[in-house]
Amino acid sequence: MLRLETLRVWTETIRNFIVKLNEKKSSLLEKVISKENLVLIFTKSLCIYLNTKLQIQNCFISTSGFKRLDNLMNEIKIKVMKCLNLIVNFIFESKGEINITTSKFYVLLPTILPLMIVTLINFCKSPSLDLNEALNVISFLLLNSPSIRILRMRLSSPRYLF
Amino acid sequence: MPFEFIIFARKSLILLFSHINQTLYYVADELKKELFPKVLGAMKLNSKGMVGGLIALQCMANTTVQQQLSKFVSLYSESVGPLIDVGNIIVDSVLNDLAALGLMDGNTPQAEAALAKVISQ
Repeated sequence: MLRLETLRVWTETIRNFIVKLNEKKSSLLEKVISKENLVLIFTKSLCIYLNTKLQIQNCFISTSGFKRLDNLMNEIKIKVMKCLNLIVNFIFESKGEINITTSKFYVLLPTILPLMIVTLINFCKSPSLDLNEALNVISFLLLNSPSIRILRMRLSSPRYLF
Repeated sequence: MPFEFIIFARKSLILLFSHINQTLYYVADELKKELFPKVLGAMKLNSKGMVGGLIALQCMANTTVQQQLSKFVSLYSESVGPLIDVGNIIVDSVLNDLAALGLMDGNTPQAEAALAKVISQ
């Protein structure tokens, strides 16, 4: 039976090809954007989640509550996002030089990008998780950083009290 | 233990290809040509065989040097079709597994066992 680990290795293999094609000669990514089914697999991979009470709705990030599953799925999704970033970058840079409008990657961009924004908004809004912890922010450092101290001082000065 | 073996096997393959690459390009090419159909065949097997095929393919891609651009492109062109087919199968299977898991009560031992199966091979 096929499992998530296999999907992780598959994503790693595809990413390896995309990164190397880009490193060797970026125009070679044209060979990637011509593959229609690839973007469909990427989109499906981003939409994989386990439906639990903890899973944030309309969110690509896996928050099912099963740590091992979440870590593995998010690792896969990060790899997919890295591939998409490289491809989107190539699409915008080579606009005009090659015909990208027929590529499925280009056609699906207006669908995928808003979903990514919704993901970020829903993740940050979610009351079920500690955002500082999720973003690996160390509260102590944050509260005691010089820029935050200056900001607090300015905010406490009279002209900001309204 | 099996994962350690995979890591070492991967390192050995990369070492082998890199070493041959530095000395005799054509030997590495011959080896890769011989291996490639087997790698594609492995990708059509069950998940364990598939993982092996995918890792071997990564090794082949990682050891293609800068001067062999056309060979790298042909490796990509020949493997991207089977890779997409395999990717479709894997994603659909994972989606099915997780859909079935979603119907179970999360706290039961059955659900835990099913989850472990989805994650591991």
